[in-house]
Amino acid sequence: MMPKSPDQIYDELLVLNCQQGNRDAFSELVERWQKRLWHYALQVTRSESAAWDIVQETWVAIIKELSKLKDVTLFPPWTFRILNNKCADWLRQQQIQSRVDNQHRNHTHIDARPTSNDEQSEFLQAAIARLSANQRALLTLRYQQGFDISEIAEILGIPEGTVKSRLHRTVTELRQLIGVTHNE
Amino acid sequence: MNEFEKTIQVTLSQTGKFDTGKAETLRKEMVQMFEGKLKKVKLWTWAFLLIDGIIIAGGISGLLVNLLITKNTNAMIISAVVVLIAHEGTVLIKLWYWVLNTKYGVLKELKQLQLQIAELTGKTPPAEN
Repeated sequence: MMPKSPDQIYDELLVLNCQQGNRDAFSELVERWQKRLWHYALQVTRSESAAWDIVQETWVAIIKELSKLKDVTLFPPWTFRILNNKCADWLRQQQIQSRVDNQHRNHTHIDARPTSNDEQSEFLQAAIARLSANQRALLTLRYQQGFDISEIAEILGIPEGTVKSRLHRTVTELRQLIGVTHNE
Repeated sequence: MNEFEKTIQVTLSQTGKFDTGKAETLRKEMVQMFEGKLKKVKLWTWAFLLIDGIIIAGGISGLLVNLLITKNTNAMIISAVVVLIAHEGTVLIKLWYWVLNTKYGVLKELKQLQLQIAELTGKTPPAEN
């Protein structure tokens, strides 16, 4: 088991203080977590305003349910599970998941092979945009938020084996998306 | 993590521009909401304690009066037992509150200790073999 970083322990301490009704601790917790939550919501929804709305809804849910969280070490996956559910609700409401995916799959083309790092990053960003919302969620949880496989499984409510295979498939698809374009 | 995965990580973190102004506004709103919830909980707790206190005090005084007035031994025993149970009930409520507070206190102390150890571990150079 990986030793916890001071940041993780400090977050746990903040959660404990929040559960005891400490206003300043809650303010600090929001400040520390806001960016992470927003980035995840943005990756899944691809809309900045929707990401802000979802983050707000997530904090409202956290305020309501925080006192019921028994183990403060589970705060990160617990929070991301709420966030993921809110994102899923949003996607369902908008019914854009399949539409956007189809649009991207059918119409998005990546034109040139990148030469510099910046270009490569843009190139990859376009490729990521072509993935489905679920695949983007998986990539974000793993590579941006740094969750391990078991935590991702808990957040998404799927078995660990499924997480591994989906992640592998997503990375392969991403490689293929770039590779296919290279050959075009 | 291989090179490709590192590139994914960098690319993901570059997506979107985080608006700090919006973040600040949202933080303030959420803190207000948190305070609102705390006030509500406080209000309910005090209302519960007040009603509970009145019921318990009224019940105990009624039973004590009954205990002193009655000549019937069975009624005296029942009154005494109920008074004792009511008394123990209030003691249990206090005990529950104390246990809960102590639990949070101990957990917080542990976390602070863990935090200090983690910070010191980061500062200490790795041991030479």
